[in-house]
Amino acid sequence: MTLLLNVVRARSEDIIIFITPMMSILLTLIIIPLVYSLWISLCELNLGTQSYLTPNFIGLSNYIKIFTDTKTWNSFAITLEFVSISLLLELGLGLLLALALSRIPRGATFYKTVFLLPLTIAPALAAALFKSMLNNDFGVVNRLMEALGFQGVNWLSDPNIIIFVFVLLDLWQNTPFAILVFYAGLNSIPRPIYDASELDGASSFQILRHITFPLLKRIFLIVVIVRGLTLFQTFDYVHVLTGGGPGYSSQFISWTLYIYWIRLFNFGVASALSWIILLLSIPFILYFFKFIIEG
Amino acid sequence: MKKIKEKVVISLAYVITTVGAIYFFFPIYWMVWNSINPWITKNSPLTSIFEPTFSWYELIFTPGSGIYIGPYLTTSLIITLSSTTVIAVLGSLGAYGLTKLDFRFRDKLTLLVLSQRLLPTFAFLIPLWLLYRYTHLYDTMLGLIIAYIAWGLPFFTWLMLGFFSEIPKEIEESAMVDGLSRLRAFWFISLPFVVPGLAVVSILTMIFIWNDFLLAITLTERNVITLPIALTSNIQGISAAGAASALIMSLPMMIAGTIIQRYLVRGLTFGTVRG
Repeated sequence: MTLLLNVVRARSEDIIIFITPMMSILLTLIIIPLVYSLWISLCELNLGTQSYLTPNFIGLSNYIKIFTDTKTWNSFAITLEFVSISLLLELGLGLLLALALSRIPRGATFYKTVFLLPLTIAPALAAALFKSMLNNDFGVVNRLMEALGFQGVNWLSDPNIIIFVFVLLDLWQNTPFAILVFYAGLNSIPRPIYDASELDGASSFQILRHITFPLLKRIFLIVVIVRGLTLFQTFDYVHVLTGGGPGYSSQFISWTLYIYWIRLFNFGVASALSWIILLLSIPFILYFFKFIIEG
Repeated sequence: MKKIKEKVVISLAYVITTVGAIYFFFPIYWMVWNSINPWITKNSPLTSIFEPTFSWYELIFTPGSGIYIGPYLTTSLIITLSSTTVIAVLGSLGAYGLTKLDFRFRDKLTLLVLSQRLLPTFAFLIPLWLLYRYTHLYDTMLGLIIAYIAWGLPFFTWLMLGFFSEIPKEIEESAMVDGLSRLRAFWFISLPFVVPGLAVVSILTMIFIWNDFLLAITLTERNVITLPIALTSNIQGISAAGAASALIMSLPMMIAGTIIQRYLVRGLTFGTVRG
């Protein structure tokens, strides 16, 4: 046995062949940039005020600037509103549709195929599609509503409605993720458990409440974390659909960051914002590791 | 009584899934319909008969038509295929190393790889942008390809780990006892086992790169324009020609997604949920 272990133990040239290429790319293009961006976030690096790009250490000033600016707070608030509404509806509708899908005797494969289509479409393209369909004057949605005797809605120019346009778009594209994952979870629950509880006289609701939901808990948390982290960084939709408007009504945090970075060339503040988003994500990422280690 | 209840539940299930299917399919239907719409109403809009046309498809493939998508399509194809190929090579080697080689810090290294995929993209994109400005990789195809490699590699490696770890240990070990080098054992013994996995993970990686907007809009400007950027630059949204282009861009990915359907759940949950 010891002999076999000696054979299997890695030799250094193997590590060089297999691990080094990948690690050197990750090191140079992700890890070093991350450390560098932490450094920039503590510096003044701003083409608006500097003629040369030389990082100037200024401590936590960028962070202070972010936390004393009501606009960034507002931006965080809008993002949280969007994330929580979308996440809740994605989970609720995803679960409902997955339960329905698991109950139909025929055609589940067909429905599953239809459901996965939105997932494969580029988010930016999905936003452009919704933009055309929701156009105030000649969009198909308003024309359908008028044909049915309702009044058209100013989907894209009303600051009170715009968040719901984002939610509608996100639900279209990402509810399928929740449906498919929940459906996989429902299918992994062994059939005999249901049969036994039915024999014991449990009602459908009781089965759902005491058997299905507890067994889905793990999958539920996985969806919350993966989707929550992604939703928090929603960018493509904003860029294509509104550019943060009307007014500041869809200025999500990623868009605020983008403005500081690409429009104002204030790399210090933009990096600080990216590190704030990163630090906020870390607890969720660490929690996610739990599911990975458990397998 | 129980039978009737069962029937009600099934009918309700059909109603719910059908309403869902209509919502999820409508924008795609709308895209198809627009792409074959002549947009010329001969009589009044109510009486005109809809005659489908394929002229939009002809126009988007006609150089000089003003809506020619050839260059964007080529750019997207080159970038997606080359970065996916490099990712597949480096990622397979890396994933094999992380599952089959025994060395210190292996588990920590593995988690480090995954964490890079979950970290917000912006955090490494801003310094990368600055680096690209200094090194003149900004707005070049090579620059974008390199960025996609870094972006896709952790995801690819992570999913391949699952496939390599499914290979029985005994098979590897007997090969090693027979005196095969690691690289040969990888190539002749392990890789054939994971070919299906390699295919689906590559397809998934390809879909992400093909559809990406964030890296393309920040790291390129005028010289390199990928399809997602070209198709979404219209302020109004998507025109008839745009719908045809959008369909050309989306159809391959829809087909790819359907092919790897069984695997999609596992891929999108980073291997934590088996589909």
